[in-house]
Amino acid sequence: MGGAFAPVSASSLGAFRALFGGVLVLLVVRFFAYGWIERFYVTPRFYFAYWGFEWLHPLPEAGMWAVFAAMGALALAVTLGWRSRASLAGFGVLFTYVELLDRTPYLNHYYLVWLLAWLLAAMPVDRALSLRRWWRARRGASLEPAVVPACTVWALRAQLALVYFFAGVAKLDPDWLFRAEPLRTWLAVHADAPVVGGLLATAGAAYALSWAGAAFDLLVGPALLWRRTRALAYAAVVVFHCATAWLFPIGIFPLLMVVVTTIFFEPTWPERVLAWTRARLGRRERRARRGPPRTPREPGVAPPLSIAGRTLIAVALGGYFAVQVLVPLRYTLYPGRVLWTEQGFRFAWQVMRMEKTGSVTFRVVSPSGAVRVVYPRDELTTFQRRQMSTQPDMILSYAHHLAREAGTGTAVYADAFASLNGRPTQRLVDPTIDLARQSEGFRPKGWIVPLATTPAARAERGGLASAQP
Amino acid sequence: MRRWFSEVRWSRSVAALGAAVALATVALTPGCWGDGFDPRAMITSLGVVVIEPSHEEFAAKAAALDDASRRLCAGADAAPSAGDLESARAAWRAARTAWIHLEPFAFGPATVQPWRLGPSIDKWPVRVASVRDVLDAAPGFDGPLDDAAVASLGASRKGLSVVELLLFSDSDLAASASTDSDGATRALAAFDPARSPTAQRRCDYLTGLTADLNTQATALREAWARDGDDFMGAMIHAGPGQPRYMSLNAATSDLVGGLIVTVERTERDRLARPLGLVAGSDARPDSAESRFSHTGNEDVLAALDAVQRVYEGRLAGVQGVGVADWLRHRRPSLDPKIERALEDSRAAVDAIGAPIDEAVLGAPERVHAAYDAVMALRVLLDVQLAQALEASVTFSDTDGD
Repeated sequence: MGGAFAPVSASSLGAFRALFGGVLVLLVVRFFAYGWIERFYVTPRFYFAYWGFEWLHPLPEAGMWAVFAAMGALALAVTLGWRSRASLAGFGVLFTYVELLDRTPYLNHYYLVWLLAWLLAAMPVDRALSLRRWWRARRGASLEPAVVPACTVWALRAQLALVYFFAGVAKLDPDWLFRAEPLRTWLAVHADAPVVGGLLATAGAAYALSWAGAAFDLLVGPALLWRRTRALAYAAVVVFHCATAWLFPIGIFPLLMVVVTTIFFEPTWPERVLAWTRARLGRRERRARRGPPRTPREPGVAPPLSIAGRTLIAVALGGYFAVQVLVPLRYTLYPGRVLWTEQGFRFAWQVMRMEKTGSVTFRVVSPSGAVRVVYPRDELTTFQRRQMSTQPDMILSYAHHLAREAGTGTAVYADAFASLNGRPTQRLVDPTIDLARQSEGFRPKGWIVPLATTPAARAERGGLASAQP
Repeated sequence: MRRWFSEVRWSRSVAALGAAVALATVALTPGCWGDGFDPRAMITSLGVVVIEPSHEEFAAKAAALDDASRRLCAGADAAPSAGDLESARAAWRAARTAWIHLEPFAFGPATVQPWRLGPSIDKWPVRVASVRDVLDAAPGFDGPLDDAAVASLGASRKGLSVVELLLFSDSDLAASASTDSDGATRALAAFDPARSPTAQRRCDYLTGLTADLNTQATALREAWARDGDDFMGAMIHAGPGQPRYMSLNAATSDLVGGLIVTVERTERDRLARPLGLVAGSDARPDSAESRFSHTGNEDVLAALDAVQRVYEGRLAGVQGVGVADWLRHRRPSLDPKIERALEDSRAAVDAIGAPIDEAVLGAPERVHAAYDAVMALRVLLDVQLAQALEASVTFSDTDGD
């Protein structure tokens, strides 16, 4: 346990905080710039709250704008290093609130932002490259040693390595490896790109990039951890994420990963970069005239943690990583293909795995037997409707909403059809099951029609005509 | 420091080597070189062959309707003739069909500022009480009904649906005065100053409405035209830095999405709603579109025609490049399924055998069969076509993953 708490330079953790904070600022700015606050949290008339969090509701419009403005201010404080832990905790609370309001905009990298914000909030992230430290030094106030326990750096490395690892494991899938889907579909969009467009649209490119992508995800974590391959691995991180940023509109994800993987470098890397930069700028000579050159700061002396404190941290980290290992694997406990049922899909680093489209209408049957067909377009936004049409748990939530609105004794059936990674359309939900009587939660959803892989199975599992109750 | 530099140099050389190997691997892998289809050329072709001619067609039909309504209401002293009424009704039917042919393009000028022309042209269902307010000069509507006054009315008191009501109903705005000879006689009487005290106001209202339609149809055509506001050009030149379409995918998404919305609107508003399925009630013939003219079936067929025009890229014997050509490059097996679903839908509508507003009472199972057929078409387009062409919103509404 001693090594885990050995002091290491606080520089890389400080740089991580500053860079991560900058990405958070960008994340919030994009919500303002693209009108997402209004589209996601003001315009909708119904929200797909997470199970157990239905009591959370969006604030009135001005309130939601204020929430995002506060997140922006907190992110800026994190970047600058001013009361960073409190700012990270504040950002974490607000971002978690926003994300829990609606499943529709869920993204894997938003989940990563949650986790990193909360992890950093528990770490001494202000001990280097922070405005607060600079300010205290200016005032001659006492400074904490510019060191942090090694376990802080290793916890972040482990978190990022798990993201890549599980993203790679998820790609060990027949669709990804042997059908090159969904890359085949997505890359075809770039057929008109200059120079390489024709190449990207080939089947060969889709296969090559699918296999390369899986290999990258599986290997990059260990390669970043091993000193001899670290530089190459980081170069691969940059190239890989630049390529994905160019090919797919995945927002801040590439930038986030390029920034946060710097934590794999030696903890003194920011000092080395600064020293190298100073040398390049010729300051070394000027400093030489003033005195001896500054060498990378050795870790200072930090007061040792008590045994109880160390044990507490070890238990907390152990519990945290046990969850981080088990949650992404929970899909193995459910029957059927995770991409189809989406049971255990979220919070599991199933990144860039599928192109899935769907279409759903509902039949609301009153106790008297009157049938009303509900077209989600009438109430949901286009984005919500699209997302719901392929995600059974969202279909169930909306069915419950319709049942609540219609009153006691109402039955709700779904005519839901979907296609996964280029397969023909098939029913996603059993049209004879009253969804109003199905409960939400973690239990397997037996009313999801299993993915059919043969024409005969598809025919058996329902055609395209509407089902009568 | 030396190690740091050496790491950088090593990484550069290995990264360059890796990139070269990756490119060579891809280049040497067997497979076709691109799918050989240019979506931008498809948009250009659809613009020339389908979109612009369809807007020209609607503008011409709206102008013809305006002419016909003015002939119907030409004589302040002379009674209108049955021929004038039938000409106006025929002109309305033609304008209505031409408008439905534009449904796949109900984005851009139809829905967004500064144009947003759609609601003024066509808003269903018609509210009879709102129209009666205008005809009866109810408080707030008691001024003279010149063209400017009619143009300033709200969308629920304007457009094709209100023109239909005026042309196909009697002086009490009753639907019974529709297409039989007795009904036509009573409808004609509603425009005869000698037989109806509100005839002049009805004429003023009608001609004001058709003038406004004519104006809106011309504005819509101009909004798309290359020598006008050139929305067509905005689609053709979609790409980074373009104000309306920042990517080609966004433009193709609107085109493909237009097909899906047209079919869903037909399924919901023209079939499910009169069947009572939207309200959860018995059949609702009063919510059928074009119920005064009993041409709801023609509306459905026109919508299917509109979809087929864009899908096949063909209009009036001119064959261009359509969505089907693109699909055949991406997923050829899907094309015959869509063609078959279009045929099945058309056949199911033909098999209804009576106007929808009557059939929902007399032969609801036939309307149900048409509803099922159109639903199957909608699912096929919404799920399969969107995926095959990557026109889904997975990666366009917000960031993916």
